[in-house]
Amino acid sequence: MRFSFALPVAISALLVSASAFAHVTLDAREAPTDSYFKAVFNVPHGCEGSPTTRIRVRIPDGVTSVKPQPKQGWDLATVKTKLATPTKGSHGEAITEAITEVAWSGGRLLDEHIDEFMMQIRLPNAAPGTVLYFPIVQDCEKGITRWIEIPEPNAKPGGLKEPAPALRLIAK
Amino acid sequence: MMRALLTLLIVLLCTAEARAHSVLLETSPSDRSVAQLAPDVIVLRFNEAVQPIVVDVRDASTQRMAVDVLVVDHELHVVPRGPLPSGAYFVSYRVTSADSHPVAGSFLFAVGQAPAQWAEPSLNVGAYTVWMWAAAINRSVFLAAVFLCIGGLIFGFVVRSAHPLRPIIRRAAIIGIATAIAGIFLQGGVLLDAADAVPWDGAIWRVGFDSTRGQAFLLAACGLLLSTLPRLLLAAIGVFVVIASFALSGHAATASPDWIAIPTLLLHVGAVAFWLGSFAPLLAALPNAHPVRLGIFRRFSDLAMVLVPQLILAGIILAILQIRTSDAFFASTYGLLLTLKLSFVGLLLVIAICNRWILLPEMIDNIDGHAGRFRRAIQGELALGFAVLCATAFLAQTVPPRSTLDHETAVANAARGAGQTSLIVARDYKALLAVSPARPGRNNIRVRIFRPDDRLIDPLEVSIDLSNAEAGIGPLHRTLASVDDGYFDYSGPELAVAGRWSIRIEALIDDFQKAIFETEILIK
Repeated sequence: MRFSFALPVAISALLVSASAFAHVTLDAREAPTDSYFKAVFNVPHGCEGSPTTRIRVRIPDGVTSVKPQPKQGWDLATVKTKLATPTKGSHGEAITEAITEVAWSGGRLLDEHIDEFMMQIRLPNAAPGTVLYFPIVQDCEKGITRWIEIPEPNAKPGGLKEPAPALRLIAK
Repeated sequence: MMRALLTLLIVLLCTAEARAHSVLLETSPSDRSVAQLAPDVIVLRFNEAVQPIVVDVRDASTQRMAVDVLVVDHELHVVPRGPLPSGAYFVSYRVTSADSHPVAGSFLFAVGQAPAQWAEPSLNVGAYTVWMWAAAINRSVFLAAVFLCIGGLIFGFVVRSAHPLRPIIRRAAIIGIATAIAGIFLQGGVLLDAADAVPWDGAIWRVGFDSTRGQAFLLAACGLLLSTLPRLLLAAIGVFVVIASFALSGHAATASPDWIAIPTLLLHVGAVAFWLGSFAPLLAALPNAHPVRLGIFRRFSDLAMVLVPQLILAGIILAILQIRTSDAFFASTYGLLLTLKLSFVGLLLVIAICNRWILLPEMIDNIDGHAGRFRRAIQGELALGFAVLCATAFLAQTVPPRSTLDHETAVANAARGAGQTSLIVARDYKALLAVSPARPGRNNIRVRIFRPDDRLIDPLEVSIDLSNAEAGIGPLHRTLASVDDGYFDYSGPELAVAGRWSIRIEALIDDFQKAIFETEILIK
């Protein structure tokens, strides 16, 4: 009985595609290397029913020109870190520090609602096929969910419970 | 009163040192195990903090591997400087514990593939080396000199002025100081088990000085120096310093509970000093013995009646603390030596009783006819006393059953598969997982996480998922309790059935970083 129930669920899960089903994800799965990219993070639910009160995104190394979008009802904050090795911006200017964390806090997103959190970033000029991970910590009124798991190299996809949103770089 | 306070103070200062023998509880990789990937760190876990003296990793061709040794709490982390190629490895170690004993042992593991034959490791725990013989013989002389010196002085304090004996006491003190200094060097040699040693080898001296036995020797030498001074108070302090030095090191001083062991030990040493140290003054008093002088024999005899039973009682208490179970007693070298010591003590007692109830009354009746017999009796006691000290010195170099039992239990547990340890590498982090007893039922699960450079880190949270696919169990998610910085622990009945269990460890390194480790353990 249990088995006959599980199968359709598994099939429908596959159909819906792993994305928007249950995880905090990125809208797009891939983007061209060395380009400006509008990263949209979908928050599909709270933490086991509890409303979301804060979303923190860790910006992966190599990503520059981070410009988060303010949201009505949320306070926006960023964490800047000095770069170990300064890089060059799109106009040849030296970049010595970069935003490494973006946080929207103070809002209240109910479990039964969805929302998007957006930022414009410049993707690094890395080899196509490189995968960037955007670990996200979702704070709720009760509990916390960390979308920060990164798969081992050569691991089977879908093995993670709370994967970090990933973006695959493709050729321009 | 002053003396009592001083002794108490020294005892209190010394108790911090008191511990039992060190015992290797487990290693990772475990003995005769085969690791698929070369371990980045070899872990030796002991029952207490130890000081490494030598840790040696050799490959099948006995080529020595370059390693760094880190002390992490009760563990030694042996980090090879480069990746270990496939093949068999032989790890030997030599460490010291608070009771100044070297604990040595070895184990084997292989990388990649099990070797056709495991080369038998030579476990030299408890075996006598040349160094140990030398140290024991030196200590016999040291003990004899010490008791001659301080015993003579005590005799002087409580029975009769020791002035006529000053030269003997001084000579004994000088021999005592010399053997104490030699003892520091020999202790260094015992600990290092150095192959070719020269007295100017700084390393041996340093190890000797660092050991509790070496420090006890040093303290005893200082006490002996003090005791030779002509001022009565200084000599008395010297005597107490020498007696207190026995509480610094050795089996009896490190047996638990130390609040029983150390005062008992000091009482024992003090009584022994008085008893053995009295023979020389008594002998010296004999030639010109006349009825008036005989009073000192009577006074000694009366004091001995009080002290000797107490001495024996203290000795029995100390022996019980060492042996605990009677089964192990006769089987062990320690038990054998202790039996030998006790037989000598028994003989000594017989002579003492003869002296008190037969020879002494006879001599009081007729000095001229019986002084010769009385002298021979005391000489016999002196010889037996030295034999007792020799047995004691050798006992000091022998591992008492108190710790061999622990060791055997640990080995037996390991042989039964009680406790499994594995090192799992994921991305940059390493997890050391220990499951014990790894048998169906209640288990203790311990996890530690290491950075790429093998430093222990203190993650925000560590949780595990336990599942057994064959039995259709799991995954059961459990959060481990942080017992101490970086030490995570869980005890529970989840691993209830035998078989292969998958264990997934999630360690939250910081807010945005999680390390995930997956491994399998066999519960049997």
